[in-house]
Amino acid sequence: MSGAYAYCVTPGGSEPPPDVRGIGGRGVFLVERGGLALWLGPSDEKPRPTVENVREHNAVVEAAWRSCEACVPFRFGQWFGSPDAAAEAAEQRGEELGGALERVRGMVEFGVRVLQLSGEGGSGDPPERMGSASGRGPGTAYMTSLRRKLASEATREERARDVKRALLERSAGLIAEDRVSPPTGEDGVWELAHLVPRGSEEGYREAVHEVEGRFPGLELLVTGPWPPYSFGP
Amino acid sequence: MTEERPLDTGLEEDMVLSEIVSRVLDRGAVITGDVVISVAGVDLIQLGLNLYLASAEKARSAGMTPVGPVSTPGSRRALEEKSGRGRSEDRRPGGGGREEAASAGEEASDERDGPGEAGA
Repeated sequence: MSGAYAYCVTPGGSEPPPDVRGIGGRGVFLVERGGLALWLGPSDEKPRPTVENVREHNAVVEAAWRSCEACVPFRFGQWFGSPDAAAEAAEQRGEELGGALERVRGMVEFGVRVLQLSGEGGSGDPPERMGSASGRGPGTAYMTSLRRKLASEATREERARDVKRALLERSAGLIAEDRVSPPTGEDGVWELAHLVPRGSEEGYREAVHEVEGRFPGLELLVTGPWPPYSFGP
Repeated sequence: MTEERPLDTGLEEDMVLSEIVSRVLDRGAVITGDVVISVAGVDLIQLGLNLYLASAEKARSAGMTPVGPVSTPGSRRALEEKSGRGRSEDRRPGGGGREEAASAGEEASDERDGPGEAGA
């Protein structure tokens, strides 16, 4: 028996759609253990993290998410020597996965990227040059630049947290849970993730729309609905 | 009869792709300690974010918004006012929005990953 690649987990008794295809166009099968249905695909080796493979991983997760009331997506790249080994690994985290399934039951995920478009020392500030025309030495210029950068980062973080608070306040009942992700790179973009009940998508968008208007110079980029990637155990 | 279609299919696909990439590689539950996204994967995540930000900038400078699962409320509002139409159709689960992107045949595979990719 070949190895197995794991896509996601749903409650026991789930059935995969007949036409769902995973990485490499290969089929998907379910293994049940401890009340959990593990969505697996046959795979002789660990898939490479290519864009195509990432898309195919997501396609299976979306198929599970659409066809089941609850779905906890797995992160890319979880390969096991056999389906049994995958089921054992899932069973070891069965309590956490079961809890996560309950939390995301009937929910969709939205992402909100907090984009600072202008002013307040945003990312559009020109970089300070070493030994600038102001006559200051390179050390002073460096410290000035560093101070400005830190102030800018603090402003962005403060804005992100203000937006988070405003959204939770405005969207009471529409946001079941939220996560905040700090910037992962130099871009300084904060990201919020919200768990929203199916059927409340339009109300949620309206709320974001309204909150965006309260923050001049700020744009909230909303994406979704997604499977609840950000709300696993 | 007016044809309803995305304003910029390439823009939408870029944004959707970057969102998929960042979620699939950076989020989701982990049931094994041997997660692939540790070394080579970082480059791919960064690729996604760069695509995303480039697309957002492009959208702003063009004064337009993509239609579909990725939307910018401010731009959408402006678009609606400009067009005199109601809200763009929402692509809900099963609506096929991301499936279109998934079949676009992107070939930006990361050749830098290799045997050393494993290990968190």
